[in-house]
Amino acid sequence: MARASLHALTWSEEQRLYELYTRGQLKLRFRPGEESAWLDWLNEATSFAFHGKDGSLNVYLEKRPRGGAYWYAYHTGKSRTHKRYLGRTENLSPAHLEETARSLSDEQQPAPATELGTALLSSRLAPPRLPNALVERERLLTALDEALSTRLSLLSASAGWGKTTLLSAWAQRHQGQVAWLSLNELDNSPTRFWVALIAALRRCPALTSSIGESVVTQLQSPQPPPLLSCLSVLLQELERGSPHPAPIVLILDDYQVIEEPNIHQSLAFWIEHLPAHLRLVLSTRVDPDLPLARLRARGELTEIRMDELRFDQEEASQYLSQLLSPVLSPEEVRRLVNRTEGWIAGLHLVALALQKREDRAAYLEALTGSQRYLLDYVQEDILAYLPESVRTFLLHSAILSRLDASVCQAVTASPTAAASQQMLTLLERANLFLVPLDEERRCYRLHDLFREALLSALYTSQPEMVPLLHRRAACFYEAEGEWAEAIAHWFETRDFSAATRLMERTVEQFWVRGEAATIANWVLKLPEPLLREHARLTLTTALHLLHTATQATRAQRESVHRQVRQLIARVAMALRRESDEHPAIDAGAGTLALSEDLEARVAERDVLHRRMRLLSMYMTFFGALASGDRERLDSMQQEIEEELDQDEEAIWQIVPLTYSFLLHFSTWQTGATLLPRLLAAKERLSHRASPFVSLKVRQFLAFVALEAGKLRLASQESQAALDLIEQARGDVLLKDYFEVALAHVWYQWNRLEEARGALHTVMHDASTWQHLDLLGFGYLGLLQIALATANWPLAEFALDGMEQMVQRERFATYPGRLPILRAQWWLARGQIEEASEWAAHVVFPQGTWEASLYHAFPVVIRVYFAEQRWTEAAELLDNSRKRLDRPANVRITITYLAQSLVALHQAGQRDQARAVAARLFALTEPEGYLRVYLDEGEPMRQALLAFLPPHSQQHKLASSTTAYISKLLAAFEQEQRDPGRSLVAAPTALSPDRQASVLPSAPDASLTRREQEVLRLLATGASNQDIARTLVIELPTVKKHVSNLLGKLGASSRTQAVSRARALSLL
Amino acid sequence: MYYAIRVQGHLSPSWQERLGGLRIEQEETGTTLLSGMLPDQAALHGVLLQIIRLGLTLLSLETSETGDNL
Repeated sequence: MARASLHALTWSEEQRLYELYTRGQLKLRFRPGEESAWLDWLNEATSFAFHGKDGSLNVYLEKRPRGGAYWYAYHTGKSRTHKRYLGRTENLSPAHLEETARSLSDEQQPAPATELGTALLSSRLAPPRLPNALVERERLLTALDEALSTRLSLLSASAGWGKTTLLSAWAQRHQGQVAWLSLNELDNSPTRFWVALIAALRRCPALTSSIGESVVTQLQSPQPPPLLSCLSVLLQELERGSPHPAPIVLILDDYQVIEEPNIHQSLAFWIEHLPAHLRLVLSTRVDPDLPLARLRARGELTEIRMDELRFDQEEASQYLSQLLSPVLSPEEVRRLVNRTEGWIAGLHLVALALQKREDRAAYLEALTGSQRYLLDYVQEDILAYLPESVRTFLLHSAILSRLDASVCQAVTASPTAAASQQMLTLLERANLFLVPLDEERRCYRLHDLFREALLSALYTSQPEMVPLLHRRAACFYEAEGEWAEAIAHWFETRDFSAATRLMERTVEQFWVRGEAATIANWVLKLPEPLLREHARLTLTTALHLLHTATQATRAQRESVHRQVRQLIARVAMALRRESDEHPAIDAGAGTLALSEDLEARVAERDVLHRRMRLLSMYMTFFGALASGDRERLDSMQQEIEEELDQDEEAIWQIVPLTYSFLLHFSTWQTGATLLPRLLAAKERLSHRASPFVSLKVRQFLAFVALEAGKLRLASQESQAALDLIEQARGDVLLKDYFEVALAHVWYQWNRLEEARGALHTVMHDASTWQHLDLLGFGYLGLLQIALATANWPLAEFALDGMEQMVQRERFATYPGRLPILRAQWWLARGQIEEASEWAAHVVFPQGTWEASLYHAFPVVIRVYFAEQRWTEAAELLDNSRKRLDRPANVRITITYLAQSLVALHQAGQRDQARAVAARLFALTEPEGYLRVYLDEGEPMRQALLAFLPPHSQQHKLASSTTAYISKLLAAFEQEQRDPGRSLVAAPTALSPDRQASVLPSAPDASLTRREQEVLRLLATGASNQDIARTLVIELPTVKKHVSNLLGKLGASSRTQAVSRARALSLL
Repeated sequence: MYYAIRVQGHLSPSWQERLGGLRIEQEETGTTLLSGMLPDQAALHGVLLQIIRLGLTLLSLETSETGDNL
C-alpha cells in the first residue's frame, strides 16, 4: 500500500532549480551549484527518491558491517533493477545524481519498451475489421443477442465457417459492452492467458481501466497465490462495479489453441462464478474441455454450430454478388452452395478463382462436378493468376501469425517498409484472405485456412526457403524485444542453439513475470545434446516452476511436480549418455592427469547433480512439511547442512537456505542459530541477486532476528525491505511478511496500535488472496494484542478465525497451537479452573519437544502464577533450563528469564532472582523490550519494584538500568490505569461489536499514484477546481478520481474518505 | 504404427509435407486416403489437428502394426 517515498528531490524545469519534498511538503529549494543546504540535509537522511532532468533513481545509504556508510542508486526498468555505487555523502551532488540517472536510463534503452509481447497483445484486444465483402446475417446476429440470456455461448465449428466475422459484426453493434481477446498458441500458460484476458477486460468501455491491476501483479510474482484465489479477487472486483444497464460480453476467439488443462479448469471456475452482468462467448474449432454437458443441462449454454453457420442460398447470393460481376444466376449460386455446403471459406475461394476466368460457365460446371478439396484451388486457380511478386510475398509472409509492414519487410527481404505496406493494402483490396486487425490497417493476419494452403505451397515449391524465412522473422522479433515470438520462430528454424541462446539471455524476464511454464515447454522440446549444454537453464527453470507452486492447490502442485520431474529426468538422461560416451568423466576424480577440459566437465557435472538433488529435496521437503512428517524432516537435516553455501548462484543458494530456515525457525525453534549465516548471505548476495532472492534473504533475516532477540535489527531489515518493495511496486504478499515481523517488534515495544495497524494490512491481503501462512500469523498477532488490551471481541474473532482455518484447511502448522491459545484466553478472562485443567494435561518429556511445547511452556507457567504456585513454577522453570535458556532462541530465553525472575522473587529466593534479572536486563534493555514484562502482570511489577529504592539500597544498578526499570514501572502504571488505552486511542479503532465483521473485509485501499495525489490534496481541503488546477487535469477526471477514492475507501463523503485514509495510514 | 485415414473430398498430394508425410491417394468414391507409418501418438495427434485446421471431414481411421492387413 501507499508507503510513498518519504523524501523526493525533484528538478523543476520551469524554475530551473531543485526542490526537496518531504511527505509531499516542500522543504528546500536550491539552484545547481548552491548545494550546501542540500549536503547538510543529506547528513540526516538515509534514503530519497531523485527525479532529475533525464531520469529517476531511488537512493539509499547502506551501512557496511565494519563501519562506514555509502550511497547507492537503484534504477528500476521494465523488469530488472540496476544498482550503482554512488559513494560517500560529500559526493552526492545533484550533478553526480543526474549523470548516474542518465547512464542508467541509457542502459535501459536496449531493453525494449514492450513487456513480453504487450505490443503484439494490443492488436489482439479488439475484433478484427470487417471484410470488404460482408453479408449482414440478421438471423445469426439475433441468435447471438438471444444467446446473452445464458452465461456461456459457444460458437463451435471448424475453420472457415465465418465465426470471427460474425462475432466482429456483432461486437461492432455493441461496442460499449464488449471485451475481446484473440488467443494464440503462446497463451498456453495460465499466467499469460489470464493476464491477456484481464487486459481485454480493461479495454471494455463499460469497465474501469484499472480492473484486475493487483491480480496481474500477483499472477506475475515469483510465488503467486493459488490461481483460483486470484480469480476470486478478479470476480469480486467485477461484482463491485457500478450497475450495468446491459451485460458485459467477453469474447474469446480461437479458444481451440488452448490445450493447457489448468486453463480449462480455471475458466470453468470463472464461468461457474461469473457475475450476473457478465457473459462469456467462446469461438472455437473444437469443443473445449469445459463442463458443457452440465451447463447445457442447467440451461446456461447457448450453442451456435456448423449447421447454423452455413450460408443459405440468399446469403450466398448476396455475398458472391459483392465479389463477382456480372452476378451469377440463381441456379449457379444454388449449385455452388451445394458444392461448398454453405462453407463460406469455400464460397470465397470459388469467387476468387472465378474472378479471373473468361470461361466462367465451363469452369463452374467442372468445379461443381468435381470432388476436389476446395482449398486446393488456391494454388492452381488463385495463386497461379497472381503476379510473381505478389505470389512470393504471400508465400513468404505465410510463416507469420501476425503481419505488419516492418515484419513483412524483414521476412520477404523487401526494400522498404512502404513497399510492404503497399503490398498488404493491395492484398486486402483483392480479398486475398487478409484480415486487418486495427482501424489504421497496419496490422493484419492471414485467414488460417488460406495460410495453411500457402504454407503447403511454400513447403512443396521452396522448402529450402522455410528455415531462412523463420530465421528472418526470429531476428526481427529478437531486435524488437518480442522474445516469445522470436524464440518460437527460432524453434521453427530448427536452429536450437539460437533459440537457447536467446532463452538464456531473456529467461529472467520470463521468470520475474511468473512465466516459468513457458520456458519449461520450450526446454522440453530441445534435442538432447543441447539440453546437456543448457542443463543449468533447464534445472533453474524447474526451480522457478517449483516456486510458482508454493501456494498452489494440491492438484496444481502435483502437475507442476510432474513437469519438474520430467525436466530432471531429461537432464539425468543427458548426463548418463555423456558418461557412456566418455567413461573417463565418471572415473574422473580418481585418475591422475585430467585434462583441463575434462576437469571442467567433471566440475560442471557435480554442480548439475547437486541441483538435481536440491530439486528432489525441494519436493520431498515441502511434502513432509505439509503433512507434518517430523521424522522425515529431522532426517533431512544432515543433507541440508551439506548443501548450504555450496552453490555459487544466488537463486540456488536460497534453496537450502529456505529449508534450513523453515526447519530451524518453525520445527526446531532454533532460529537464532541462523543469524550469522543469513547476515553473511545478505552481504554476499546484495550486489548480484535478483530482488526476489535478496528480499527472501531479508525476510528470513528479519524473522531470525526476532528469534535472536534483536528487535532493532528486525525492525531495520523490515523497514528497508518495505521501502524496496514499495519502490518496485512489488508483491503485496512478500511485503506482508515484513509487516508481520514489524508487528512483532512493535508489540514488544508496546506500540500496540502500530502493531495492530500492520496486522490489519496483513489480514486484509491474506484473506483477499487466501494466503494461509500469513492468515495464521495475522490471527496469532491479533490475539496477543487483544489479550494484552482486554479487547474480548477481537480476541474471539482471532480465535474463531484460527479455529476455522485449522478445521477447513487441515493446516499442519497450527493444530497444536489451538489449545494453547484457548488456555491464554481463559487466563486472560480469569477462568483459572479451565486453564488449570489444560495445564495439568501438558507433559514436558525428557526427549525431543514438539514446536508447540515451546509455545505451551510459558502459558503453563502463567497458570501456576495465577494459582500462586511460585515454588512449583520455579522448579519447573529450573528443570527446563537446558531447553529454554540457550542462544539458539533468545526470544524463548528472554521469556524464560522473565518468568524465572517472577517465580524466584515471589518464592522469596531474592538472590537468585537478582542474578536472573541481571541477565534479563542485559538482553532486554538495549533492544527496548516492554511487553515481555507487562505480559506477566502484577507479580512482575512487584519483582521490579524490589530493584528500586527504598527496597534496594545495597545493590547499585547502572543508571541506565534504573532508568529502564522506571520506564517499565511507568508502563505498568499506565496499563493498570487504562488497559485498553493503546487501541482506544488508535485511529483504526472500531466499536468492539463491529470489529469482528469489519476486519477481514476492509475496503480495498490500493490506490493508484494519481489517486494518492488527489487524496493528499483532498486532505488539505482542496476543491475539485483546485485539484484540477494543481494537477493540470480536466475537471471530469478529478471527479472520476474522487469517486474512485470514495469507493475504494468505502467512504460516503470527502471528509470521511480523508479520515478513513488516515486510519489506514494512506495519508 | 501404420495408419490409414480417410477424409471426404479429393486432396492434393502436395499436402503430404503438412500431413505427417503420409501418402495421399484420391479414391474413386470421392474420398482421399492418407496412409503410412507414424512414429507415435504425438505424430498422429499432429495429423489429426491439421485435419481439423483444414476443416476436412474425417471419415475413418484404422491402424495396424505393419499395414499388411489394411
